Amino acid sequence: MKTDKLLIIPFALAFSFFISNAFAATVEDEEEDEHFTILVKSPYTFEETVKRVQEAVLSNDFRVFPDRYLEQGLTDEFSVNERQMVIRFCHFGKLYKALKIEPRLGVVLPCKITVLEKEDGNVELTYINAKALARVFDNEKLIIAAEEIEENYNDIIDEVML
Amino acid sequence: MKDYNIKEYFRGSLRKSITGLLIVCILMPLALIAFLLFFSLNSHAMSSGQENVLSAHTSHDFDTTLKLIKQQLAEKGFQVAHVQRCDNGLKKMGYEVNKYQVVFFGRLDEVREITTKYTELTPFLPFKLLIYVQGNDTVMSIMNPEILTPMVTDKALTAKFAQWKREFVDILEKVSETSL
Repeated sequence: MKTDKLLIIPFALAFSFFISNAFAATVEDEEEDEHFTILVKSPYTFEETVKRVQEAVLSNDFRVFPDRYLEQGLTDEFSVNERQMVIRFCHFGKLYKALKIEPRLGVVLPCKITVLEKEDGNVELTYINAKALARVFDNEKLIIAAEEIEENYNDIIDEVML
Repeated sequence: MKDYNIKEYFRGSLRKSITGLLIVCILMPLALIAFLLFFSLNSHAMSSGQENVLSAHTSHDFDTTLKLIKQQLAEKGFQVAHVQRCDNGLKKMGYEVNKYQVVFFGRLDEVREITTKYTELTPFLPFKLLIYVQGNDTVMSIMNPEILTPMVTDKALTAKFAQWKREFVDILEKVSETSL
């Protein structure tokens, strides 16, 4: 009988080890998933890419703000890098709903896609990973809402890359 | 017969004692460890959640807060690129909102370094400082740049994130503490 009871110990230890590893793995998986931005190489020229992004944003029911160079306002107009364009856009209905869920959301607003031409001539698009970034607010409702934003971004990028 | 019963009685007691000891000495501590582990992981997630967005409240009105923020940014060598008036956009579309604006700012040399070496961080540039009205307070919020640390391996950049965080916290504190 003693032996039977003692058998519980290794099982209990194994179970405890399994549980702690499972938690650790979950945390690691989430951390790996938390790449807050997405970078895509464009097969088009800088000008073509900018145009395609603007068109894709409009066709996905967003309003487009006037484009800005990334460095605009940080330096004078003569030294601003004109090969770094930020296409900013917004869906006010979605924004209004999202702000009701999380008022601090403004720290990542507005929706935008940055198009950059690198020194080697490659053109890249970069934008936030809405779902990963939503997690930093520690707000479950926002994480659900971010899935829709992520889909919007994916649709836009798919259209640009066609 | 009597002796046997006593022996059986003591054997039974011994078994119960061993079982009790097993539960008290091994299973309960294991359960406790599992519970503590679970609790510590969750509390870590909660505390890091609060730290991801740096915020401060002030009793200054919105316009005064915006003015003080611009002053503090200038003192730290940051350039204000522009102010996005989200409230105006929402109002034009028929939504009722309080003051809600975002100040875009940065240092040109830092922005250029990041966009050249770490293009994937570009969506966070220029930095954004949100100002909005909540009840009788004006709230300032900004993303903690240290959340980006897992995305980079460069220690100099990691140190830069920490430096920016200190500067942002300082700006928020000075604006909320400034008396007029």
